[in-house]
Amino acid sequence: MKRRLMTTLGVGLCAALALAGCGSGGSDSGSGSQTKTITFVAAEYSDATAPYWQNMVKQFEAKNPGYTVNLNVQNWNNIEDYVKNLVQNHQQPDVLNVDHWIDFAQDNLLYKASDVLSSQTMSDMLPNPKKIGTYQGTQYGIPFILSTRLMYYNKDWFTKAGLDPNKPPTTWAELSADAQKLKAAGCPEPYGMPLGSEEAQAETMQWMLGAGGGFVDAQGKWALNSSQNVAAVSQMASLVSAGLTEPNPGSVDRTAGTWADFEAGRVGMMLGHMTPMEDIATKKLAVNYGLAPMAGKDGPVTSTLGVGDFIMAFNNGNGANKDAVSKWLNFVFQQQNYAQFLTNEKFLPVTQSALTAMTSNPADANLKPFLNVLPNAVFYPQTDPAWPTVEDAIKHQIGTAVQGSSPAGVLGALQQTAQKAEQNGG
Amino acid sequence: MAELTTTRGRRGVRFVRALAPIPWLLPALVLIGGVVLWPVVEMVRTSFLRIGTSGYVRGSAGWTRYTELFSEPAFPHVLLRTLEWVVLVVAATVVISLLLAQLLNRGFPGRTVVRWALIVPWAASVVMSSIIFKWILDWSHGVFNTLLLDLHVISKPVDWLGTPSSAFWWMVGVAVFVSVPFTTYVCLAGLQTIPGDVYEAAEVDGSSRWNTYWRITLPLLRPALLVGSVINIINVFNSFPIIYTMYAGAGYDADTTTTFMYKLKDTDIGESAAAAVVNFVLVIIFVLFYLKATRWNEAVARK
Amino acid sequence: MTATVTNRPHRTTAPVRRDTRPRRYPIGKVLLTGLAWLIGVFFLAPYLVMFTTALKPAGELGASPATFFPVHWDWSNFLDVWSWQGHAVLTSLRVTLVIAGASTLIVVLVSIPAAYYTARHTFRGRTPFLLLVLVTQMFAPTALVVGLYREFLQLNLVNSYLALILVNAGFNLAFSIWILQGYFTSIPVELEEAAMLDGLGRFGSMMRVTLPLAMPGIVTAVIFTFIAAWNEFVVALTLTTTPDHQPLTVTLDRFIGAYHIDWQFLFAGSIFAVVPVVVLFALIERYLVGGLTAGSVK
Repeated sequence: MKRRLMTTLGVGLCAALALAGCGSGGSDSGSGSQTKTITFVAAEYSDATAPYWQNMVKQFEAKNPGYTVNLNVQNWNNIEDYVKNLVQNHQQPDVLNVDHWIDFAQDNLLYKASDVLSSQTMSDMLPNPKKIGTYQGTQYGIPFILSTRLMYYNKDWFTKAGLDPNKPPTTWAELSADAQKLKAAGCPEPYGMPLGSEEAQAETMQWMLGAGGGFVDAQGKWALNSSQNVAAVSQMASLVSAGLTEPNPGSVDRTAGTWADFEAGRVGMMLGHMTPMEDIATKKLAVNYGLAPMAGKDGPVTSTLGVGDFIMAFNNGNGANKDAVSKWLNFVFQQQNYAQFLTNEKFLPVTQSALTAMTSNPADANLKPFLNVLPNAVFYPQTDPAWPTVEDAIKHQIGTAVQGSSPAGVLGALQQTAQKAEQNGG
Repeated sequence: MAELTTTRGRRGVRFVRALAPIPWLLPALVLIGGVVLWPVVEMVRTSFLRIGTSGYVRGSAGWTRYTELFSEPAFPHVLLRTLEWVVLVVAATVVISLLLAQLLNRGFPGRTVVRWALIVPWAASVVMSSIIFKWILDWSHGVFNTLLLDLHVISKPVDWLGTPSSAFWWMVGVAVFVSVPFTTYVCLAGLQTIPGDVYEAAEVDGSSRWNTYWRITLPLLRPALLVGSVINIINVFNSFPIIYTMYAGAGYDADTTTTFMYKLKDTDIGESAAAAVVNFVLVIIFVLFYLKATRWNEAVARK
Repeated sequence: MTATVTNRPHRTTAPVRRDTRPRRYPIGKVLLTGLAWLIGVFFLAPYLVMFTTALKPAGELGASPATFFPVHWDWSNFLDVWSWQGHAVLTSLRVTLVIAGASTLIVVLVSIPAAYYTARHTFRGRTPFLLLVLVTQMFAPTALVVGLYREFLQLNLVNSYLALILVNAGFNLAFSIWILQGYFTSIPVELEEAAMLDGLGRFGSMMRVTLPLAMPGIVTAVIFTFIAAWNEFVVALTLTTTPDHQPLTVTLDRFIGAYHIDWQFLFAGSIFAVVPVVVLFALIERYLVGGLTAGSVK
């Protein structure tokens, strides 16, 4: 009986293999000669993303006859799995736009930035963003867009609670006191704290920065359970237990949760980048809000959280795609092309020329508060090979630290995860 | 078949007999082998590989992905949750479907419309249904809280999906909700295969209604019920959209082996593949156990 | 009540009614009808919320507490969703139709002979075959996408209709074979033998006698396959790369963006995704459970 089952399985497999034999091997083994066709996998930021890239590809192909860019725009929720699948099957794209690069660089899949960007584009790039694409002195990740975080606060709720709408809290103590007053005035979510798996790491890191901590120490070593960080997470937990946040922050997503609730006028204070501001403007929502640096332990934070997404070039077929990739990237970073993307999506630039252009563009005037804090922004430790693993662990676990588990315990477990990932080389 | 043995030699007959099923079964075997078994081999292979977060294959991992999986602190709890999940959802689904099938088998005004309504959760993708339930149950802008507030059942909004323990029950409910339509139709179809004269005979015997159901309907429904519940066990076991969509919360307290496998994929594809293999072994055990308990051979296999 | 249950009136009138249960008191019937209607509403309710949400203007979506109905009925959402990104929804609706239709056809053509043969014959390898079929049902497609991608890469079929058609057919074959096997078994072999005596061959008797009788089973298999293929998401996401080959599920998923979620479009699009399947169902529902089999098997 068992043997028969095995025979049947065997027959099935043989049939499968025979089926496979019919197909022609489609792997790109040819090296040496230059290819003029490249694949670009891009993350979809908004409805405007796909049309923008389609237009760019059309223009690029018109200007560079013979070159072809196969565009593939992927939803943020799925791009990670999609790209991993491509890499595992040795079908990595030629150019990719996602939020991490270190693991690709570690597996020797990427060109150095200087190999594919013109010296003009290279020198145009701002020094701060350049750093987050650099591993052991060599830049692989090309920062593409940046964002910074500020505290949004609802002025109407502040007025209703008897607070000065032009004096947002600057310290944790003030923030708690203000939140208490907002709660007393009937504000359903005095402080919005999205610690769900969507972006828990951002909220967490901004609080840690407020205590003088961070994911890594000054030497760049993982320091997730430092005393400053424990203090920060404990402070977050105390807001939760006082009922000043959503009831269960660990399951609150950022976009569909806190931000949406702020736009609906339910949230007193929260962290956010440019999108809620843009949403309120385009949807003409009646939310009267102010922007301020996030409150810190003893005063307003001087270092805001900065987040960068990257574009990167894969070395496929021993440099066979270098010429085409280089042409495409330099085209993308041309000032008017690049600035158009930023204006569409409301992001902050990584190049000096785009920064200059945006500063003088009235359409981008509202980005100013976010641009102002960019020079002092502190980014995720995106140059650390363990970061992708650590980021995921924070997303899935930090929420438990404000819902009953001990902050020190959760942070300790995260620190262990980080150190283990470090040993395994990412 | 008997007449064949007399006209031909025994060996030839055996050969012809052995080949006879081929034309009938070959297309199915080719499709199954090509589309299902091949990727399975790939999955097993992946579970022995060392793969970076980039997806790049860095070499062989031996059995370490399995040892890592079994030493995950959350793993024992996930196993228990899985058992709970499958047993609760399938049991509730089968019981509700049996009742519903009886009801919908009756004649009443508007029966067709009610049956159509039942089709909708089946026709909608599980992802969509999970999203709409999450939307309905949202603590700040969900209509479920509005309804309960209006009815004065609650005095302030409740965060139904906020904690793993309360979210789990809601997710069980949604899983039953999306499984019931199909199962009900299987039961309805099963009821249709029961010849009317069986009931007439029972009627003549003066058998009570409950007795008739218990002694006649249910046993005759067994093949349909078996197919329905086996398919449900497998689907519920492998179901990931409901938990994945509805509980975005911290920790692994609401995870089954399937969603756990999915989450592992973010950090380690190899370990995730190992979890997929374990998942498959578990579902086989589950189904075999069920088939054994229900004496599948008597019901389905022809002697 | 108890009287009618234990002491059934014995009907002697000529046409035997399908519903052999006793005549009930009107009050029971009314209660039963009410209960059934409530159940119907219960199963529809979430999708009604989906519908009303799709009609809300963007500004009303976050309102708390939520309103049951839109304050301003924004019917334009249902139009705007079609023109979104160059009629992407229309294109993908067509893709979904092709894939679901073709894979259903393949499943029927492949599963009928296999199910019929296993139901009618005992042969070496019958049990292993049925077990194999059952086992194929047990894999979660999410675990298999990497292998599937590699396979279709080698076959040079990535981003093709054929790949999705084959995958959907392959993954739904098992259920179809199982359900049909059960139905063929339940049809008495004597009916076929009688037909064979009447001069119909084995094949002819299968086509003329057994298949019509197995219609409820076939329809169930068709519907199951069609729905599963219509709603398949994970494999399509991996195997398609361009919008013109992406089915509706993948396109709808794009309304869930990184920074905005267009709930009203997501829900409006989902309504369009559900309605065709429900209508199709409604059309063949009576075959699904119609009294075909029981009526003729006596």
